[in-house]
Amino acid sequence: MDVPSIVERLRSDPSFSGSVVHWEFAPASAGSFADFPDWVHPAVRAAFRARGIERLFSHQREAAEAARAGEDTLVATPTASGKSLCYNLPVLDAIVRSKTETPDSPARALYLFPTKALSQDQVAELTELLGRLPVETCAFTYDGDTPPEVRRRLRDRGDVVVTNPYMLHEGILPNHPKWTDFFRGLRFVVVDEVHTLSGVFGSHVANVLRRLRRICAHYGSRPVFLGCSATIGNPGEHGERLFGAPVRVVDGDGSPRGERAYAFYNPPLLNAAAGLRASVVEEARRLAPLLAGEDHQTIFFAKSRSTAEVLVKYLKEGARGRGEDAEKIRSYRGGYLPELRRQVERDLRSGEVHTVVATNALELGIDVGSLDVAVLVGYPGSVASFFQQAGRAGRRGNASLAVLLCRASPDDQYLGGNPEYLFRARRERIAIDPDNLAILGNQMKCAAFELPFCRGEGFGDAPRAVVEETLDFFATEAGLLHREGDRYHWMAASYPAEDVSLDSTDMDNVVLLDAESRRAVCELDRAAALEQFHEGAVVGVQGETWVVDRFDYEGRRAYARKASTDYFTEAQVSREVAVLALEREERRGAFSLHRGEVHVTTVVPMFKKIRYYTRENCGAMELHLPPEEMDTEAFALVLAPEAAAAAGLLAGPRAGAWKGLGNLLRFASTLFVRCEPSDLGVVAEARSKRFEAPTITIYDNHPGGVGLSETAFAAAEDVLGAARSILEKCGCRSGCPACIGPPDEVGPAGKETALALLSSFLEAPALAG
Amino acid sequence: MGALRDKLRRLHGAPAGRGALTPLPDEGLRVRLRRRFGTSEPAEGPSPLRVTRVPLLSRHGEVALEKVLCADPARLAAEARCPSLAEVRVRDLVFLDTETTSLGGGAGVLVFLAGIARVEGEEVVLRQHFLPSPGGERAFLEAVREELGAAGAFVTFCGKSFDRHRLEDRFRFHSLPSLFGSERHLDLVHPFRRNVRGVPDHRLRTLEGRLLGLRRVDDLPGERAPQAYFDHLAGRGGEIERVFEHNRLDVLSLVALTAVLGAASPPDRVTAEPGGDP
Repeated sequence: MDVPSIVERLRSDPSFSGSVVHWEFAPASAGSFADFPDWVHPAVRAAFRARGIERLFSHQREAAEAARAGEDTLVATPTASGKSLCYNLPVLDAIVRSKTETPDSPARALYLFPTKALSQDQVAELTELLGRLPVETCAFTYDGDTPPEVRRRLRDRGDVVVTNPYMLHEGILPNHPKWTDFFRGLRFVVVDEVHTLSGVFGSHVANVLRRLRRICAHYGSRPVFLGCSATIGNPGEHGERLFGAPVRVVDGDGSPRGERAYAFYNPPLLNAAAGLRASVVEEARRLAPLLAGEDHQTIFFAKSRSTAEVLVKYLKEGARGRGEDAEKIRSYRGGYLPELRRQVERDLRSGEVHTVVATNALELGIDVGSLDVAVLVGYPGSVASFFQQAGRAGRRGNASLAVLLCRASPDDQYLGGNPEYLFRARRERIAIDPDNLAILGNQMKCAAFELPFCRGEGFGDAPRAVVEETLDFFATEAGLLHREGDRYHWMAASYPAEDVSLDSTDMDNVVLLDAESRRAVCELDRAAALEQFHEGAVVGVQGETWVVDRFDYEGRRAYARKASTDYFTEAQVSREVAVLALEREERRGAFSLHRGEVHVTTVVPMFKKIRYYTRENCGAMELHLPPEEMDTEAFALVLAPEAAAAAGLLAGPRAGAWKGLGNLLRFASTLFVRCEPSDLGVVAEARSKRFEAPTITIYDNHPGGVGLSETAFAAAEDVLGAARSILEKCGCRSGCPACIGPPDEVGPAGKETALALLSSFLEAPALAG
Repeated sequence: MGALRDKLRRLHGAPAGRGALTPLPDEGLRVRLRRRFGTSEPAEGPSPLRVTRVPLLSRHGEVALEKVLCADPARLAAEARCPSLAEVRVRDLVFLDTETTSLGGGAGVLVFLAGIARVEGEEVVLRQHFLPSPGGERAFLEAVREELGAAGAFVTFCGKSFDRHRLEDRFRFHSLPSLFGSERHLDLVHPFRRNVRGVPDHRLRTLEGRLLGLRRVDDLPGERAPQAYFDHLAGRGGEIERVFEHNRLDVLSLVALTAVLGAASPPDRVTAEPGGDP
């Protein structure tokens, strides 16, 4: 069935259309095409032609021309607009030309993908293209799984090395003498999915790229940087910060689009008085026969891994109940072993699978072909993600449908009431701060290990004065560098890249094993494993369930047996912040501001068993897992209890404002410290143990801290001023997800109360603490 | 900060976009660096070449160094599983041990001492090339290359996995050609690992004790060599002499172990009679 017929059927079916609060139709576009540029080597053209590509989209040609001309370029176009061709074309051309014309100095390329999984996906496509060329080529992923003999081959004669920022940071750059020929010949650096390089992680990656450029300069090469991104609010600015140089932005999408229909579906109220709505997972199950079927392909996006597993189980059981083949319904999420992922991707491309339930793991550029219908089971949390997920539907030139099922959460309900918000809101801007002193300093250690610094050399586009001062400090006070004449030599026995983590996450996963066969079933990062691999947890894989017998926290293993249960499990997470030390304090009116160190403890004290379908709670179990602990930096805003009482914060309809204000301040802080909201943690307490008063604590969500809350504290006046400005400028009446939060969450007077609190702070005179 | 506020005001709607400049807190940068990275307390050293001549008649531990002359190249080749070693005369062997700024690898690790010995006349001549400061690295490496260039074969302990790579990385760093392309490299750790049983491990220290009857007195442990060098560079040169001594003993042990390995009796029999035939 084609999409217009599906839309027709949905519109005429009251069980669906009765709950649709809004239809939006984005018109089709015919696309804008261009021929291959004349300079493209005939063999490269033939390789693309063999894959059915006769013409280019206009943006592909524009990007390829810019790359060929040596311009650092950032392509920011929607999902499925053929971004990889934008870099593969100039790279393949350079490889074929150099191999035929100057065989002694072959052109090399480095491809960076944000994760290991993604790079393994992309190398398959690349290998196929390279295989069609008349010259011998070598391309491979270089990561922790690469066997030693392949590593040597790649180092010595890899034409394209496909890797991720972690490996570049820890494995390749610090060992550049082993990669001499590669760096000498490096002509292109491709960085894909640059919109994921944000916040602290992105700030680190920008510095890793500074180190890369420095090493290239040492070997006499100056590669062209080619970036690809989802549509973001600030491609030029983000590209320039990340690459340390102005970039040419290519964002005029030339790929053809069919008409796309968007349906906003708000599940019916079950209990109007309590505002209780049907669960979106339940609704997705109920609507599946309307939205998915054997004659077209549908993707369901779930907000979490466990939701994806619950939903795929429902969909498979539903299909069996209707006498359909449940094998044509699959799930896809992070944590699956690579072979399983590859298989689902293949089956989606071939059409073998018609329905897939995925997490945002399928939001990035994994090639599964284009589908017909995308069902978002809950708002994914950002405008960019919404359009990335919706964009998974839409075969070239054909119509597509995206359905948002609104959850009962405040964000989703706001969108249910104001669907136009998504279409007029600007795309999120990506914020990074490569010059953050903690990040810059740590990265300069790594850079100094790789090559001695010369005085006045600088470090990318980092402020010269800061670089000089940091070098001098490392040499004269920190005992890391030895200065001799105008050179600073690394002089410490450590390997600094090992101690500098790009995103504070643990690279070693926890593996779930079949307790009998000891075969790996799936894997998870350690923090998530606490919540999902604890003893008694039900873990779904492709709709089959496993029950965890034993969780070996130290050994990073969990042992499970296959069992069908009539329930799934949900762990409860609680987080506490204890103040360790306070360094500075300032008073403002009824407020006091503090900066210091805190200890953040995350525990998973228990889990609940929840029955499938009915969602009835059928038991809870206590857990005795070690807490995840972190010392970090924080700042706290404390309100005198009398003032809190006067503002009505302690109870009643205004009490929700304090929590809303906490979230708003966290967001406003990101305006001044250039990070992601997730780089900062926030806890808003009505009465904190330490201060015995209402307290908002904003902390660096990175062990040891990276100076984020320190900067926010120094800019507190601006942070609170910006928060007020956001509230004042926001067009909503009493709160929305874009400012303090929707009224459901912050109360009907939340916005007004928060405004009053902010004004009383900003208008009070500052007193020394 | 006024400019920042203005920028925010210019932005329409909400949420306001990010991207304003990070304001630096008003504390001095130096104060923030100290707090972030901590501090560490802050001076003529050894010459770039030290030559030590050890008579072949002397003993290392309980083994007479002259025994190395009796080492049978064919036997060494067989024990090392490297046939081309059979063509190398003992007087063309070059015994090599390096001291580095880290026990790991990577571009930031320097070789600061290369102990190189060969049998000349009736002596073992040990030349210890020293890097007085990192600025002189190229000259240091060229001297080491010249010294090693005429080698018939290298003899090391763990050199195939360590010393060789540290030197090669430095040569490449300075665009000097490779030295270790040939297969003539006798890394003693492998044959001793295969042949010697009944020892807790196969570290050089252990083998020296068991096979050579060598007891080191007041030896500076190898892992403290990097710090000794850093102290030397910082003008606190106390222990650098001990690194020279440590390296000297290491290289002489290579000579004596080669004698043991190349002797007519296999090394495991030597285990029973430490020191062998007096």
